[in-house]
Amino acid sequence: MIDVCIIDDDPIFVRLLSIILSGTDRVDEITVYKNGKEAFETLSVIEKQGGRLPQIIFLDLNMPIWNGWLFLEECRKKEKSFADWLFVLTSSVNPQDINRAEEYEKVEAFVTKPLKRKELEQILNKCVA
Amino acid sequence: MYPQRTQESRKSPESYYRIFIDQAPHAIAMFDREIRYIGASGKWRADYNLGDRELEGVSHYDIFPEIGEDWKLIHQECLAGAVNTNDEAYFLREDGSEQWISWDVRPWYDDAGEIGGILMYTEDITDRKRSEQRVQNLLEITQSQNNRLQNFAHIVSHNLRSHAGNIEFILELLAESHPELQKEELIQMLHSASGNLSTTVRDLNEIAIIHSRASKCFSHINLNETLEKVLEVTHSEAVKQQVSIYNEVPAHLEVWGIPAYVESICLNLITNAIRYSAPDKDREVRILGEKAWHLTHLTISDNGIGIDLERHGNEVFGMYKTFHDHPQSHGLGLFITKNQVEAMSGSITIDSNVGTGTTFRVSLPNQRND
Repeated sequence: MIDVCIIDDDPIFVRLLSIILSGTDRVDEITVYKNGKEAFETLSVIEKQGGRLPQIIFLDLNMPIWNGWLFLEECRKKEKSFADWLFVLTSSVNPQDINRAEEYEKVEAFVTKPLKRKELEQILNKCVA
Repeated sequence: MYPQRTQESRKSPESYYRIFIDQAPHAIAMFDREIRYIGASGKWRADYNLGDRELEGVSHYDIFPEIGEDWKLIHQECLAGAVNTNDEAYFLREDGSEQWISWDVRPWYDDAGEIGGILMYTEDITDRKRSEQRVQNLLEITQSQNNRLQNFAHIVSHNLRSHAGNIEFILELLAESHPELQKEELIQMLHSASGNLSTTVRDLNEIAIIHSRASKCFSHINLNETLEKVLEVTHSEAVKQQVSIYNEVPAHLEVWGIPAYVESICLNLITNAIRYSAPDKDREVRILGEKAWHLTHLTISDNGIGIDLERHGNEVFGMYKTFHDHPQSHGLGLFITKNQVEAMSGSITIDSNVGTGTTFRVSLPNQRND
């Protein structure tokens, strides 16, 4: 069983993703943050207190306050990652975004919405194995 | 008579200059060492609004008090033997009017070889300058509009994608949790509407991306090799439709472009040529290529059903325009093709007659141009 963190400002998408994640019986806890800043600050506190960090982060790119890129920039400055796996999960199909995401070591893959159940299964298989 | 003429010809060079200047078709003026007028051409008078006023002996600086120290220095340099020129100098006149002038100031020499004063030659290039500025302004406006439009296209397609994706997602979950609903006609319609929306958004995206592709992926592309690659892909369809395709493009012909675009353009035009072949004759598609100066022309001709250009000429390359009732026509192919051609600084034209066939001509640069 794993913990998943979703950083996304679209409540409908978050709800839908949560429904499928819960349906897989492989996910324990799902935490949601509405933007990069909220996620970074909360995760930092949890990390400091030695709390329970997620195994997987799904990161949206277009968000208010701190977008996904800012979150990635801040994570790059840290020695340790918050999670074992970080997936960029966005509606963007812009090649510039895809190339840019590749520059971040910590980004495992660039996944395009709408997320298909099959794709999600593959991601979980990869991470939970 | 003769002695008189000799008399005249002994006039100082100054007076010859003066006759020459009076008649000159350009704006020329001659000054003595104190920058007082000796003479000025009619064009000079006209350009500087001097009318018929008496100029001889009048200081240039009295007529134009706005002339600054910089100019006085130039005049002094010329009096010392220098030649000064400027292709475009800006002047703000005392009355507030603006002028752009190309000028040339140089000394003139008297009989004894001494500098007697200066000659000024000027050309009013204000009109030319203004039209240059107008063109420049237009260019900037177009550029910024284009950027805004691209930004807009990206945002719209991105946001539409998010919403369309969510609807698709919801329907998928609904189908799993409520299989019995799938028989409902309204639900089926919703599925199909959602599918169409997603397709449209994908199309929009593809077009928005064409123009934002970085220019760094340009390279020299062998046209014949590209065509052979494309013809392999279209082979089975050509056989099925009994269309013979003749690639007559010279082996070494090249274009300077984005490989994926060139391939996509060829694929799209050849697929079209096969798709719209005529049912009741020997169907053929002929592909020709030639180099002309810095352009490479590619011509793809079929003897298919053709299209009524009188009626549809303006719309052929438009978005979502279809002219034949063909199941695989979405009206996007030629729109994308044209966008791809133009993204590589090329052009595309069509020539067609109903019943006799269609020819597309693509012209692309064959060398780097920057």
